[in-house]
Amino acid sequence: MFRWEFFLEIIKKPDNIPIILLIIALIVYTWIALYKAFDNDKRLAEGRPVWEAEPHNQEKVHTWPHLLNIEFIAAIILMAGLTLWSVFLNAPLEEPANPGVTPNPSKAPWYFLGLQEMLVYFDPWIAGVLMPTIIIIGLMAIPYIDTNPKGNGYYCWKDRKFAISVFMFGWFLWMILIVQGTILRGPGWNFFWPGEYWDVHKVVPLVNVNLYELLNIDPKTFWLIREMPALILLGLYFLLIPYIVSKIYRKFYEDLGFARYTVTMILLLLLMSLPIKMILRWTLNLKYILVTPWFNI
Amino acid sequence: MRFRIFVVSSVILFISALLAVWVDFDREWKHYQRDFKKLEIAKTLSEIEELKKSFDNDPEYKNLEEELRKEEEKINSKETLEKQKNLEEKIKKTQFELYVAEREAKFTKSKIDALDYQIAKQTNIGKDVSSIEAKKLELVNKWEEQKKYVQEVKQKYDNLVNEKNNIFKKYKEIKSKYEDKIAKLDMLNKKLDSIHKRPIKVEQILIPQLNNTIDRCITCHQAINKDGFESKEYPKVFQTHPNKELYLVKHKVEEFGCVVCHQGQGIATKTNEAHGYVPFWDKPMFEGKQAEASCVKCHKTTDNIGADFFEKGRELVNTSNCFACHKIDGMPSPMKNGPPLLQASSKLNPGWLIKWVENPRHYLPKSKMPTFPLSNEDARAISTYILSSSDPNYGEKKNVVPKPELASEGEKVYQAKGCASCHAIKGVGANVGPDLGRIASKTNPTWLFNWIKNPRTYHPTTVMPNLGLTDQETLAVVSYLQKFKWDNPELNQTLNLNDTKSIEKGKELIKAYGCASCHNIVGVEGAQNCPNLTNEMEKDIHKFDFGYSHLDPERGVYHIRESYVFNKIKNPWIYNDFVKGKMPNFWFTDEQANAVYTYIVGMTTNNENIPSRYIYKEKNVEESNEEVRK
Repeated sequence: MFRWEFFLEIIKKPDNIPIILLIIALIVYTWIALYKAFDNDKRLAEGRPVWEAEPHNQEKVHTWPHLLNIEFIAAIILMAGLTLWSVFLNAPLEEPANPGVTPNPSKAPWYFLGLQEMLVYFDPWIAGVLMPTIIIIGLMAIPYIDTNPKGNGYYCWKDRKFAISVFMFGWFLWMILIVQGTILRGPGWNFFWPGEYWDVHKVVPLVNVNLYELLNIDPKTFWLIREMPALILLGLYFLLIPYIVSKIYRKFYEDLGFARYTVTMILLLLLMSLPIKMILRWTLNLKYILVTPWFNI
Repeated sequence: MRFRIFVVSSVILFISALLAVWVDFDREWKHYQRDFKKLEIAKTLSEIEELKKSFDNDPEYKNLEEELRKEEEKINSKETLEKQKNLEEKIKKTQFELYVAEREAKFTKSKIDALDYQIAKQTNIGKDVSSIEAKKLELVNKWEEQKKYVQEVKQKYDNLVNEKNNIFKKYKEIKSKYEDKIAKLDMLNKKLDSIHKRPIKVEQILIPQLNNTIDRCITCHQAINKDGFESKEYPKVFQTHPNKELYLVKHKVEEFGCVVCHQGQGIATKTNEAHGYVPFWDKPMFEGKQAEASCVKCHKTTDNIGADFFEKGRELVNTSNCFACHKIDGMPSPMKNGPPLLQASSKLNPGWLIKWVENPRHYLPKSKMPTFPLSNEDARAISTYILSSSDPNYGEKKNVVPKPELASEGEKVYQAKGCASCHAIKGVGANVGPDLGRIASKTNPTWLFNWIKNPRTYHPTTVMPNLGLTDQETLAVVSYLQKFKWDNPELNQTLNLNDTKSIEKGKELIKAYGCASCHNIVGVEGAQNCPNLTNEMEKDIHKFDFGYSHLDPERGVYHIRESYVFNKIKNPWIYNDFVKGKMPNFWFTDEQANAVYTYIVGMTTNNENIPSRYIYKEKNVEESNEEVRK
């Protein structure tokens, strides 16, 4: 049941205001970027020069006054904004620190809320160490795996459909996790709908099971045998899918070459593993697919 | 376009800067300080006015003023001025004369010293010194003369100075008298000046030795330590501390501050943040006399220190027998103050017992026994256990039959033997023993007879005395009391005393609710299942069972220990929406609940963080004995 007072209570928290601004900024800037990309598509289709190549955009002007006075105005607006913000919103007082009693909910800083959300679905070792490392390495690897020469110096959708959609997917996934961690995760890191009262007493049934439990395999079986279905599943996921994709999109595969294609597919499949795991958790209450004595997936 | 944006954003920045300045100017405490400044200025001005008026009616002041004026005239007359001028010239001249004379004398002395040295040196090497000595003698004579002359000139100088001072002597005398007279006015004017000059600023008391206390209460409570604002006409925030001599002079403000007694958020400068509920602020402010809870932080005993409200709380806690269930480490457990129930079945009417267990106040509005949160079914089970387990054969005399014809005689005995001095009847009379206005529905004539004959055989520690009545008199009183019945159809409830299920359940309930803490009950020993209150006020907030009501200002529920403890005292069932609490309701009034709260909070606050130098020590006994011997 949606109740405005509970919704506003969460929205109005001084800590949450930046996240609200983030939602607005996210929508506005994504819209601007895509609008310009589609605009360039249209120009290319009509045979006109892209927006960046228009004569008035090619013209060179002096930094002073053209750039600096824009920056000056931006500085003024920022100052006014910060002044008003500090006048109207005070930093909240929280509980006295006590190592024996952590606050409930214990939330990471906003930029880590995506990671914290991932901890719900993955082993801490994977969500906390492996995935962030792969995210950083993956971002660093983009210039080496994306060798598409089209779109250099301008921005358009048609030439870079794959790159833009993958980026948009990852970008929105991460932002949605941050927004969800801020607004929808309440005491006990339980999920609360907008406008629902954040009840510290809320009890959520803990009925998550591992894959072998779903398949009714005796947990006391030797782990390698017990995890056979999981290993096969993961093998299919990481080997079969790239193989099939390479057969279907032959050109895509040939453009990239084997090494680049493999790296791209591994990164893509890892990215997709998060929403897949989330959906499996919501539908099948799946805790882990693979359970080994050292780590779980 | 760009210019327009620049103009608009600059205007916004300017306005937001002005807004920031205004918000700072508009802070609550600054208003209080400005208001108090106005108040104090008005007060001082009216005092000055009053003083001036009193001078107008004071002949002595008028005389002095007149004399002073006359003297000033005299001093300023041409004659005096000329005289003064002459004298001053002479003094100047003589001063120079004196200077020269003294200089010459000094020079001569210097020469003599030089000759002394010569004499000593020549003597040492065996030369003749007679010529030098002659020279020295000459100089010494000259020096003597010079010294005499210096004296003469000095005398002359002193005379002149005296003469000059004499001109002003009378004026100065009168002037100093006048100044003494207007000293108070002068002081008030200076005070007014200093009030005007006083800056608006956060004022605070810093006490590093007392847990780094920072109290900013005096930022708004400007007059708390100032005399002259005791009157209730002043706004409460500007009143002097009540009983200032005791609270602020004996306990020096600079050493104690405010929150050590009153609690609250001392560093806050907004009223609701300093006084009221602030999320996560552990020590909310005590209201009014609740602050007496803090006396025991430093005072080991509260005898004769004026903590009357705290003492009232102690009394209520003792009569309510709180510590029979709730223990505080180091405090002796009290006696069982309810009547023993070992022979209850010989005494009680089952219907009455059920009603009583459900809520004692239905039968006896002033009952000392609190009301437990029990359903009718629970009450029946408890009654079944008590009646089935207790001994029905009490008393020497069996089967007493009251005689209605003795009732009038009984009433006389009742009056003559002073029963009425302890027992009321239907609310009329003393309140030491229970009201007897419905006694006949509670118990039977046999029990009543044996009880009146010798109460201690039933209840060894009862306060009711053995009045030494004869059998005849006792029977008469019993017959008299038979007319006091409780007209209540529910009394006809019956119990099956052989229902083992019910008996079992009753025993469990008696254990759970700790009935045996106050009553002696067969087969149940001193039940102790209530929270131990030692250091209750230091307990982790998460360990309090708030149920679902963590924050509900309308019902006075706040997520702090103080609120929890107060509500448990005032209305113990307030948190029962989650887990059914067992604590009974004592039906305290607000003031009683506050007193109990004050006592409990005082006794259960850990004072380990109070530095030892603050702990009050009785004056050293040996030392005072020493004084007595002297």
